[in-house]
Amino acid sequence: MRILNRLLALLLLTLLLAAALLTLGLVTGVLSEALVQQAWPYAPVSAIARDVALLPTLTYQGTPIGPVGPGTPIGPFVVGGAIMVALLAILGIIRELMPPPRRARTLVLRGDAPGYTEIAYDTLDKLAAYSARGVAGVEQARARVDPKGGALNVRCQVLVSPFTDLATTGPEVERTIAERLTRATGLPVRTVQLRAVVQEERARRHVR
Amino acid sequence: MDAERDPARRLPDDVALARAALAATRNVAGVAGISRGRYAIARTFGLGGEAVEGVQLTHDDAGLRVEVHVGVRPVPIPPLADAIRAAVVAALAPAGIVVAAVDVWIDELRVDNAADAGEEAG
Repeated sequence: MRILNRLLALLLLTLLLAAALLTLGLVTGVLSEALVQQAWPYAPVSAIARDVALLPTLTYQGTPIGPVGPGTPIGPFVVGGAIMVALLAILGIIRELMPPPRRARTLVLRGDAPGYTEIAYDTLDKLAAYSARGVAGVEQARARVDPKGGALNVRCQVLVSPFTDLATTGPEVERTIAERLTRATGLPVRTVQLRAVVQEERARRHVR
Repeated sequence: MDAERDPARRLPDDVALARAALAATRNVAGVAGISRGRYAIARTFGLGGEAVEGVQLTHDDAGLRVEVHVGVRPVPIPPLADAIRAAVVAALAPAGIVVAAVDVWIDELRVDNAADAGEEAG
């Protein structure tokens, strides 16, 4: 799912970048409507290219906004907007292509005593899931604990019984996870993001 | 440093020390067992193929550095680590060993024991 989201984001950002560059080319005169039509002989695209190419010749006709009044050419604004969109799209593409930050393998706790204590993050994941499963109504739980600035962030997914009141169980799960992790590690828990899925009620067995 | 260059003098002693450290660690409340190490196997080797898993000893100028790998029950970890440190230092003190540091690795959480619920609540 994450890969699919990334691919979709890359596709969208590439289209956005292409649109911004096309606008810049048409507005500045680097590209012409004929060239666009030659590259993509499709009537709606030709119409859009013609309209965009006409933008520098237009002037603002609305109510005055600050220094912009009726008669102000809109060409510079189109160029500025296209450059901004192109830059944002490039930044977005770079961000999507960068590998996501990886979690360290262990959490290192340093105390006053000589030596350090290392806890595998898997262990903390397991502790968080175990804590969630201890709450009434929670059938299954998975959790991931991430460090952030001397505190812990937790993402947890729980499968709850269909007869559970989510309004009370959700906060209870969050509180239990935060308390247990803080007690176990001595570190504060900043956030617990909980995703609850209600278990489907099992089909009743028909007895003849 | 001399001891490090002379394995015949150091290794048999290291195995004995590692066993003592291991026994002391096992007896600490909250320790569910000894782990071999999560990302690399922690071993102390002796002569004749002897090896103690879960403990690794390193000699340096400050003294002996002990690394123990444990599986724990769901208990507060910093006090548990301090208890392990104290137990290891106490176990090695009779041999006249200066323990520079004890690094505690929590490799596993073991929650399969029914007694954990009661222990955790306490």
